[in-house]
Amino acid sequence: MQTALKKRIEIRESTMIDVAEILISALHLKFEPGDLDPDTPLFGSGLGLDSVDAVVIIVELESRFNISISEEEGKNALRTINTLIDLIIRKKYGNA
Amino acid sequence: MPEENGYEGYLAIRNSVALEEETDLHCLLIKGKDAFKILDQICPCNVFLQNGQMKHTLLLDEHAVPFADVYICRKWEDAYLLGYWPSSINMIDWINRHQGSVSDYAIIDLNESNFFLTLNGPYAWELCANAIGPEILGMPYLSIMMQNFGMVFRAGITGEYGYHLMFPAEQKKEWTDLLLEAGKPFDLVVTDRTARAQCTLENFFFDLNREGQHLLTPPELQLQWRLSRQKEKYPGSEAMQSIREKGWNKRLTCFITKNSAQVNDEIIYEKESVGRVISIGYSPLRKEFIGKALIEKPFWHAGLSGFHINNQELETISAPAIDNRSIHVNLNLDSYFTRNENHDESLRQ
Repeated sequence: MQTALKKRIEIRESTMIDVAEILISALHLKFEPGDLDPDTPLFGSGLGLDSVDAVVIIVELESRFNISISEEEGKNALRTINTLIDLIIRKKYGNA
Repeated sequence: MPEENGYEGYLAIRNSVALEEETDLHCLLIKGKDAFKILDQICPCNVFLQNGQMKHTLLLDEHAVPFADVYICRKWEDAYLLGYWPSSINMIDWINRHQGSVSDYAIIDLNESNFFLTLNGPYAWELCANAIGPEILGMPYLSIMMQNFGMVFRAGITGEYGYHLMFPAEQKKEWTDLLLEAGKPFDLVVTDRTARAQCTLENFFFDLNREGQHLLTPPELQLQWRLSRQKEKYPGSEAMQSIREKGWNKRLTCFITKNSAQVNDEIIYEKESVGRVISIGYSPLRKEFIGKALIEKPFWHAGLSGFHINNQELETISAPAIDNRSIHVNLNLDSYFTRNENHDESLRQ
């Protein structure tokens, strides 16, 4: 496997672990980390989060990853776990 | 698809409102003291619901393969099982086979005396409110409401506002005509399941007729959120337990590519097969093909490139693949008649 792809996979895997941990601990979700699939919807029929949860998630992500997330960025990224991961990676690593 | 069958319907679902008679949507009413106990026997999720709520789940066979894509619903003490399953399955018989010691319930097949019309689209709420009543506006996602004609289920699998309307069979023409007339100012388009299927693909919703044909389990389908880890006993629970213990090494991942491909075409990375196509379709909004592929670990992540399919480049992306207009529609401020025609419906970046 090419080094660049290997690095991308490592970044996504470690970010996924961190995001799952934040969601479970901050929102007291009754899931094990392995139960959270990356394309799970955050709102509505998926994890069933609400607007208060959205604020909690953004605050926790900003703190954990030392990034700043604007309201617009947060709104666009709060679709699935994967869209959150996309945002974090873009903020932390650029196009890595 | 692209500009062929269902294209006009697809655009209506994405931009205005589409009407579909859903002949593949089933609904069972379960009455009696044990109505929710029997649901608890058959469902892999916690069946607790407040009055008027719905929950999206699956029904599994003994191998933990979904054979029904369902909502469970509560209206007072009555339970409803609404969803999609093959007509070849006698669901009432299947439920009764799993009743265990639960006996005080009766199941009524509502499809025998009713029919379903579904409104999908970013302005479905407005048409629905105009045609049925303003109380529709107060319905949260995944809720049900009794009406004097029948029932309204607010759900949907297109990523846009969706309302399943259940009417008495003898009023079919009356209600169809009424909705068609009320829909004229909304540029209502009558659709079939082709358009719906394309939208579910873009939004990564499970389609029993598509992904459901490949004997995949909830972790492979990324549908673990439809199950409850705390629940120990249900049809398929032993298989699910075994899967969780052993782990899994493939899962569905959303992908994009510029050219079409066929189901089961191999996905190649450095001359090695790392997966296969499970479903694929043209996305008019993205102007490229999108699909779901069963990809092996560790290549199963979104945001990766360097893959090929039939010598064409393929990259994996996060779902959903589009930015749904409904996300940006505010029921208190917006209307189809004052909509922003320049709304950017481009892909999420």
